[in-house]
Amino acid sequence: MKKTTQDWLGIFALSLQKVLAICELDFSFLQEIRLRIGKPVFLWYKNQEYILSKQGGFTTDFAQAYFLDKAELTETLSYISNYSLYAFEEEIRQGFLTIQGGHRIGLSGKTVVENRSIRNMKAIFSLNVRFSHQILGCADRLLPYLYDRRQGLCSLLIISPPRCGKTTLLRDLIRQVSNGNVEHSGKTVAVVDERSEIAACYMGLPQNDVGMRTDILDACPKDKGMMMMIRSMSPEVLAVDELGGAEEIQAIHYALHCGCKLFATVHGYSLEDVQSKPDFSPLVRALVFQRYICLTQQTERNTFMHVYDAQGKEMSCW
Amino acid sequence: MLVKMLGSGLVFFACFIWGMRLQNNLKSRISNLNDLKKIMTLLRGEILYHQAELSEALFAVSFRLAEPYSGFCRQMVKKLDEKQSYAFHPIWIDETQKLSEQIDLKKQDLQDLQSMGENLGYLDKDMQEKQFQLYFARLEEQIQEGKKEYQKKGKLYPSLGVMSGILFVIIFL
Repeated sequence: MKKTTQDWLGIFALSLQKVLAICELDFSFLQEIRLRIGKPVFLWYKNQEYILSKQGGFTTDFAQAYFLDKAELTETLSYISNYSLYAFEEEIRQGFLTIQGGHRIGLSGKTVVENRSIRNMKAIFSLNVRFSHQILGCADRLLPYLYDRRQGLCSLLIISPPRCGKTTLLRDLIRQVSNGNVEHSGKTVAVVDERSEIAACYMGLPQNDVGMRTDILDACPKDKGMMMMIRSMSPEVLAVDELGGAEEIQAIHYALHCGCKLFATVHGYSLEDVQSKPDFSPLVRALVFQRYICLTQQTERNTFMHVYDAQGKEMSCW
Repeated sequence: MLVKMLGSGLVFFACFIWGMRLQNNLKSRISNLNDLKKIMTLLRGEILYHQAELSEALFAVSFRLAEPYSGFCRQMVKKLDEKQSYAFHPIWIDETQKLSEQIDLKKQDLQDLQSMGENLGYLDKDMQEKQFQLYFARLEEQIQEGKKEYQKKGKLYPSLGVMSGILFVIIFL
């Protein structure tokens, strides 16, 4: 499971790989690398933005910055897609693709539109490589709040802005609930991993540890996947990342009627923020989730975590 | 005299084998072209229906093939996974060249096979489908041409081997 330097460096153009290798970055602190044609390479490392220098290392002087050319971006795209752009047609249409290791690559360029829907993207101009990190044990402190004396395991919604680690937290929760512990037996967990970010499946095999009682439906739309998993795998817990569409909310109702507990995440800044979303407010009012976790403001590697109960009453914060 | 007889016998046998070998080349070329057709059909299925990446598709296909094709696919997978080139095409050229040294193909067959890989992986699924269609049409032409050639020259080569053997023997004796 441990990622070597070669693993993450291998997706970049050879010339860029050499410069990045000189930096001797600690992968566990590396969050993003942004590539744009004719522009300097930016890195998000230890929660700070850096400019990559030509000699390797970081610089604040643009004259010393490493400027990316078109051939390097094309080469990087070739490595990212494993020489198979056609296999990522659907993902490119959505503007991002997930690669081996669960890392997410955002794309921007010129879209090809047909009948008002995006058919493809050409002339890709920039890439945003967001690295996925598995942090085993990051949900340790949260776990006791997930079990209620009367209801047992609670359904949970993780609310967080981007880059606060909601997927990382969800992944560790899935692992711990699936494996069980001295106090609580393990549960059968079904993960609908639409963007392959939770389990990071490669050729069907999860590369992240998501527990021993976990079944994964990889690269499947969440709404359809949730229904499929309930019918086929009869899970005790259903886990999905980044809820959004109305169809997904409908699928949640179906899951809850089947007696499943739900672990989900959503983009947002607070519980009030989520309550104000038209699709989510009925869920909050119906007390569908017994726990809400809000992740806020990150400093270095720390994220502030607030735990709320079904009524929105704060239970704990750290 | 005994040495002369022995030498003539060897020359005759070598010429006969040479004729048989030429006949066999024609036959195995058709068989190899059919094997390539089978590989491409499997690869096409993996790419178009499973939406597999090239390395994934080649890996899956490798289990359904015999040597040397299975080794060719595995070697391709290894090189693709190691990202040994900036693009798919140079790896394809290199490996198909090595494959052609192990099977009977004409120069043109190899060129067609290599140019097929030129646009593999590029653009969308439609593009892949068109590449396969183009190559299948070309392969079919080559197979028909190979069959005609075999009909024409298949029986000629062993006879030619025997006749040339007799000729050498007469000359030597």
